[in-house]
Amino acid sequence: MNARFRRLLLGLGTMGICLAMPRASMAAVPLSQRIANYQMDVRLDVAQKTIYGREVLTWINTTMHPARELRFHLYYNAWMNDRSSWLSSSRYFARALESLEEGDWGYCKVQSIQLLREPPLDLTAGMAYIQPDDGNPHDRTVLRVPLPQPVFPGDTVRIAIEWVSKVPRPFARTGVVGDYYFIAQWFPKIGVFQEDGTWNCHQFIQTEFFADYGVYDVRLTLPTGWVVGATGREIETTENGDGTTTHRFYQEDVHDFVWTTSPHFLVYTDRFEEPGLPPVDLRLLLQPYNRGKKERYFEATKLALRYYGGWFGAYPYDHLTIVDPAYQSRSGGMEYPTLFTGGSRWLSTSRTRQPESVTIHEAGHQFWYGVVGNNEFEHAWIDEGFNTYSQSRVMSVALPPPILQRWYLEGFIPVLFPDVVLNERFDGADIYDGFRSPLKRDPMARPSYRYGPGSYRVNSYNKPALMLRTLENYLGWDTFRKILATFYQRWQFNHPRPRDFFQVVNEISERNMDWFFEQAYYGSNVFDYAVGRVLSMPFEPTKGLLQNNGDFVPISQVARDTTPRDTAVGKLYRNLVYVRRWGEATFPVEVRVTFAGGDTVLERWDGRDRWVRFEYIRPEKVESVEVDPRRVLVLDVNRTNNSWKRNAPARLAGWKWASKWMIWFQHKLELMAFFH
Amino acid sequence: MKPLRAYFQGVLGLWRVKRYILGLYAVNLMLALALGSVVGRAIYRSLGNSRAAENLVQGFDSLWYGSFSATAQGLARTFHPAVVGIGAVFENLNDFLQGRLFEGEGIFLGLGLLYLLLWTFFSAGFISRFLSRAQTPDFLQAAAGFLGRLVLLAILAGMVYYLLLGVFLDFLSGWIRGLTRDTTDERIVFFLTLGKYGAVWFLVWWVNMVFDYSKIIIVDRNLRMVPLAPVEAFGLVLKHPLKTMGLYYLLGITSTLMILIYWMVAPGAGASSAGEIWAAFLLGQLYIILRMCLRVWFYSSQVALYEGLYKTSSNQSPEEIG
Repeated sequence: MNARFRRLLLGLGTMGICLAMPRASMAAVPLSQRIANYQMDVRLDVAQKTIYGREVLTWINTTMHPARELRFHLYYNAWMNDRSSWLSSSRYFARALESLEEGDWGYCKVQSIQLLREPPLDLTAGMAYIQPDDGNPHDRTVLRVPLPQPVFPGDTVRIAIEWVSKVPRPFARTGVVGDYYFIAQWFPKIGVFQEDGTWNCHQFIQTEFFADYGVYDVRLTLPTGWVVGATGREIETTENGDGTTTHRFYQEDVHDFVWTTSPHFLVYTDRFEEPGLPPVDLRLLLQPYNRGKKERYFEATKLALRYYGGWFGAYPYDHLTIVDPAYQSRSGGMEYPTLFTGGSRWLSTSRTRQPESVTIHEAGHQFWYGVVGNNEFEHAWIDEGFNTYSQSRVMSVALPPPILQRWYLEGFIPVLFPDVVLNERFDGADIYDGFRSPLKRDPMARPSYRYGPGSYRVNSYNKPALMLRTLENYLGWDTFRKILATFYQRWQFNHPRPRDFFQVVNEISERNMDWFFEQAYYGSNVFDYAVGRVLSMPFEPTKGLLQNNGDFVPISQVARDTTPRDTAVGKLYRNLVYVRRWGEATFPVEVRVTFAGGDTVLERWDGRDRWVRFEYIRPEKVESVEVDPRRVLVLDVNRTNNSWKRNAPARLAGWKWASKWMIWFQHKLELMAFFH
Repeated sequence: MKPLRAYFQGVLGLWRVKRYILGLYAVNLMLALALGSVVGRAIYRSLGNSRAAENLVQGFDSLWYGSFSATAQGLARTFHPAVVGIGAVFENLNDFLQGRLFEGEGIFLGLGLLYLLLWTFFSAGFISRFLSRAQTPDFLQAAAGFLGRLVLLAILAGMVYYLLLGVFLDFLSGWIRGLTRDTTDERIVFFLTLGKYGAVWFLVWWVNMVFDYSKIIIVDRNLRMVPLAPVEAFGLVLKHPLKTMGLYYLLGITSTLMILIYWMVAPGAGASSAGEIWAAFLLGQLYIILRMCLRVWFYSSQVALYEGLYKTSSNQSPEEIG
């Protein structure tokens, strides 16, 4: 009953929104619930580095609870001073703050807020900053606006807000440097009113974002002649005759709006066309010094659209804007609806994977983030982890393997080492080695905004990518692809939670994988399986006494071939293989034992005990042992101890690399001698 | 005397001091062997009987390196796959150019200073051998006799290097940072950075040359007042800038050529048999020996030029000048 009622409310609300939108741009069927819809008029004052904006928010309450207040994100206030929760919690920026000048700080000041009804009601006096997460009274990134009367289920309110945003020197990928503006998280943005009748409107501390889908109709007034890129398509351009031009961008069914402008962008277009997938118009805004990377940006974007589209489901919009960020802008490598920033150094060559890697990643976010809109405050891993996994998968099938590269002379000059081949990011967890591992600092299940130092990156990107890769290896690619495709289709334009994904895994695989999620997601134990001892002992004649006709007699008095063991003397070996579990987490593993003649035996172990022993009586010695030979459990924190090989050339390997280190050291001494 | 003649005359002089170059090389190698064995043992222990050992022999194993680097202690922490091939040179050159060569593990600083002292000791011997009318022709006697004065000179030089690479380079970096604060074109910052290093290193090399001639003057004239030597050398270089700098940069180009050739021939990570691994090591040793020869070649050529300049352009003998 409730669900039907909600659908009815949703339908009526969406119809109202659609009626207010430009007909030429409207999708036949709304893709999303269109809960938060914005019409904005924005003017950029370049001299003051300030944005003057007015927005009309049309918001629908699709829950079963009345909303007695509204809550807004004012992200730019995180850059107001160093007392904000974001700046006071981030050690990284402590150094960067030293170089800030007075005009470099930013803010978002709401000047007035009105409830649009007859007659309009001014709500400005009632608004107040709140700090629901950490109680920091200096943090002004969440604004609470009490309503004179609740917005009841199914009702729509229209709110007019006038605000001023001072654009900061770039923080967290937004701001201005020179005449390059990248403007993200810049307007008063309503939080998410959840099904339980509470607001999900977190302070801006260390995470990314969360918002409802809607329609954005935005007019940007900028200096004439400046190139502009933004979420959506430009549907109208008006020269105002005062040195400014107004660009109108329109986009349906997205949960954010971003824009960038600069007089220096080079603009290129291309089109993605792939059988079975809808075409996508690509628009590239390129820095002049990266002119030569045009095709590489386009090709990398097409790789993402092709593989993600083929594996999970089509990209639902018909356009995509790629922004090559300006040098020093710190706006690179970030995703926004229908627009993303790549990033590449001037001298990077194709083997550096710049801009390919970041382009595939951010284009991939159009799927995991743009279309599947998880709550990044609390479950950042759903988009970052899924996307890191998917990006690594695309790169592993479409690009040459990664190689070592070093950037010299303050990072300007790359030097490649083609024969030092590296692993893809989802190939192993070895860098998070052992029991000091950052994998153990926080379980992934902890809300992202509460992760401890060093945990955010590991728990949002690396560990989930390894977790998904492990699932792929365990369930098989066909099944796992179906899982991801189902999850993508089922949760597009919606807000999935982790349990929604786990449910899809269990449903599609027809297996209960909760045991795995209990450990990998809810727990922080690490996986570490290892080969223990390997013994190959030749049989020797039995020593001691044997019972013969009731008496214990020396074995020498008994015919030697009466015992099966003695028949093996000189012919067979007793091979013992011990496999250990050093980590606290458990996972079923295979153990491959190879004998001197080349025969192999594949054992299966449930991996629960601390150790297991396999015994083989064979004419050959064990030549090698490998735990998890198919590399299913890429979450294993130490791959090196997974294998054992008789006469492994460790000494030669040690000498080889130590000899190279020696040349490095000798050369260091030689250069030191310059100063004698 | 023309720089080119001094350059070729210098290379011929190397043969006269080959024993001492090999002696210096032996010290360099022994230090490397002592420390390299620690790194090698750490790698060996970390590999045990694993398959990673095979991977490391055939190429590289980045998963192993992940575990290794996460747990490495002491010297083993300084191991990085970029030491392979030309990386051994570039990693150090990068630190050298940025004035960070003495940073890092404390043992490197200690050994580096000892090695500097050894070269300071040998310098007087080399110069004495190259001078045609040396007052102390015996190599070791000259080395010992001038050690105190050359150490004092090295301290003076160290102070100037610190001013250039510690203070001036930092100042220029800060200045460029401020100048390019709002620059959005990477090329501008790149070329300014190149210009910064060009300016600083032009001065560093110039100072290096002046202190080279200072050593020659001290040994040639048995000069007791060490601070006078750089003043005299400064005057010499100012009087003959094209010749002194021409020779210095000719030798600098030789050094660059050596690096380029080593870049082309240095084996990478692929060497997999014991023979190939040894060949790669020996090639690296040849490069190190040639670099040491080049360092002595500087002295040899500069002494030749120094003597040539006084014979051709001055009626005074070096003794009379002092």
